[in-house]
Amino acid sequence: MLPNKGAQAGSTEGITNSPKATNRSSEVISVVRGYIARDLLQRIDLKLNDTVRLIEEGFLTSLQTVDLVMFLQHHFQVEIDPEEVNEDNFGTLASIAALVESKLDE
Amino acid sequence: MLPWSKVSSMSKIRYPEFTVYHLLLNTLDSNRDGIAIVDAGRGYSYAELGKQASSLAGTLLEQGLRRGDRVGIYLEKCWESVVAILAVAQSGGVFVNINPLLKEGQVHHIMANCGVRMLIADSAKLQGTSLPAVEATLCRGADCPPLSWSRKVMALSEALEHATRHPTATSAMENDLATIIYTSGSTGRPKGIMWTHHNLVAGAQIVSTYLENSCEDRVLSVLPFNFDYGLSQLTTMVRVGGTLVLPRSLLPGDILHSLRQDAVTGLAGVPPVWTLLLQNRRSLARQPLTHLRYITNSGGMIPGTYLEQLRQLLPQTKIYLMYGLTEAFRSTYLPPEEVHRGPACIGRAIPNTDIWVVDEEGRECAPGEVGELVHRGPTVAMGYWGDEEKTQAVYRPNPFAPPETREADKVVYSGDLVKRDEEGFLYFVGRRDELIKTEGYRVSPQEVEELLYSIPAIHEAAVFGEKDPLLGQRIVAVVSLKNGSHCVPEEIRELCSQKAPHYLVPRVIHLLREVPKTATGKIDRSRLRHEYAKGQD
Repeated sequence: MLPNKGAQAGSTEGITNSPKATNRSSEVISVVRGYIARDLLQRIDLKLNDTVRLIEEGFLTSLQTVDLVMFLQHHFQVEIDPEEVNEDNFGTLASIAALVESKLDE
Repeated sequence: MLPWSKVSSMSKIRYPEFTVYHLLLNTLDSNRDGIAIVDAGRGYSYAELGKQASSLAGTLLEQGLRRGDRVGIYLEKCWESVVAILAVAQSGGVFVNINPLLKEGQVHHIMANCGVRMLIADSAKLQGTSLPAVEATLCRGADCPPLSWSRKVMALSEALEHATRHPTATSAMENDLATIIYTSGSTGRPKGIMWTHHNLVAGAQIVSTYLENSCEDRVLSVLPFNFDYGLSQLTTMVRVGGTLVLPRSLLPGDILHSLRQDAVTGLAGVPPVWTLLLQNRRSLARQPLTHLRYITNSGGMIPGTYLEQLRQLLPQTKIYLMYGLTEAFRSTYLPPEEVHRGPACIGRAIPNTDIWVVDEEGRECAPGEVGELVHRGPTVAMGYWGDEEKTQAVYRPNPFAPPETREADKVVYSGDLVKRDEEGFLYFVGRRDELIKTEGYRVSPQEVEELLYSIPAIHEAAVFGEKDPLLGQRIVAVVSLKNGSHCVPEEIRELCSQKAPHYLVPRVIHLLREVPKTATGKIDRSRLRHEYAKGQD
């Protein structure tokens, strides 16, 4: 029986992609990068650059992005409207972080 | 009374629709300034489409393209990918759409398998690749990389503006191969299905007839062009002079934005598309999509709960449930007024087509009996490229024709099990090779999936059988849960047991984050069976 990965959705342990993170933006990016690589793609060694086109280059499917949205809402305690789930906001790690930060500032 | 504009366009003499090029030619006559394509917010007219397709066709011919040569199109869905399809068709070549998500290994297989002679591709996708040798490559976007395997490398943008010396007519006729569509089967590497111009044109005629398409339609293109169902939105819109809207992405916000912004009238989807659209249920309830005239589903049965939600949220929209397989494009559709018959109902034969339900002895089944769906009509494709054995297994002589015409009259044996009710409506039962035989019962995976989808916590479900010494086969389910939901396999089994007899309840349940899909978005049951079934059967 495979474990249900959803049970670990809130955890960020084991993410070490940005050891020099000094500000909130790079922290958000590191959490999102870790979730995509470890939970969604199950490719722990994948190094995703902040500006890589996640959807266009086929790293994330649309359905996986919906999963990511649920995670972000839970982890950061923010609300993301489905209409905001678009290429502008979810095209890159940097744009996702910008969206989350704008929510945290509200 | 019809409005004058319609009368006048109807009275015009149209070219006989022999090839894909003739569909475009007619629309250039009737709706030259109409918008053909909306890409990244910009509209392109049919006049522009005709002009650029002619320029590109001319370039391909100047580069030595011969009638029947295969041309690979490995582009993101965009304006140029539409021009490329029509240009290759016009030039007399055979277009081979390659899913832009495919990587080097799979692209290599397709190009080598059908002997691609020229390639039209995104520059960025070709960086550092080693693909089979081609005569010429036309690159879209800056920085055409040097390609050791391509004799010539040119910029697509220049070919589109190129003043051609070649005539704009086409050398193709309707029996010529127009496209090869690669599709994944249950075994082996993708196989190419050969479609003639006649197949494509007949498909566009049939579909635009029952969907009642006109030049007023604006259809959102969410499915890839390398999928026959996705290509159909393009051919039908070109035929009627309507508009094809290319969305920015398939993310829920972008789909909804396109539907609203471009006042889309038609949307064709596979089941995962409805999952994405329904993320917006609150917005849809608040502000209904009043322009959306129809939606169509094919490529898998839509879960009953989604169908109900779509009917509620889109009360003015006609819902067409359809059935087809790439070997014969489209077989049946359910008229929207019959949609209450439920998601398993696939309706009746499309126009100009015979659909039979045939038992193992080759006789037509009585109502209620389960048999194989057999298709006869003008969309029956030519067979599998380079695979005569498989072609003969699927494309067989018409069993109901007199002996004198039987051999010449090829029909498609679908491998899908269906049954017909007393009124003549067809119901999907399952893939013949996926039917589960457990405890002496014949169980279709779809029936168990429907049962699982009736549990609110379940997001996606796929079911198959694995060998069991006692039961013959036992039912295995792979499911993902909706976020925020918690449910253990024991609870799922308990909920199933409350609603169904024990032989329909999965013995084994795997919980996954997401149920794997094929490149065209269908649940990949054969991959699941391969990965999770302990005893193959």
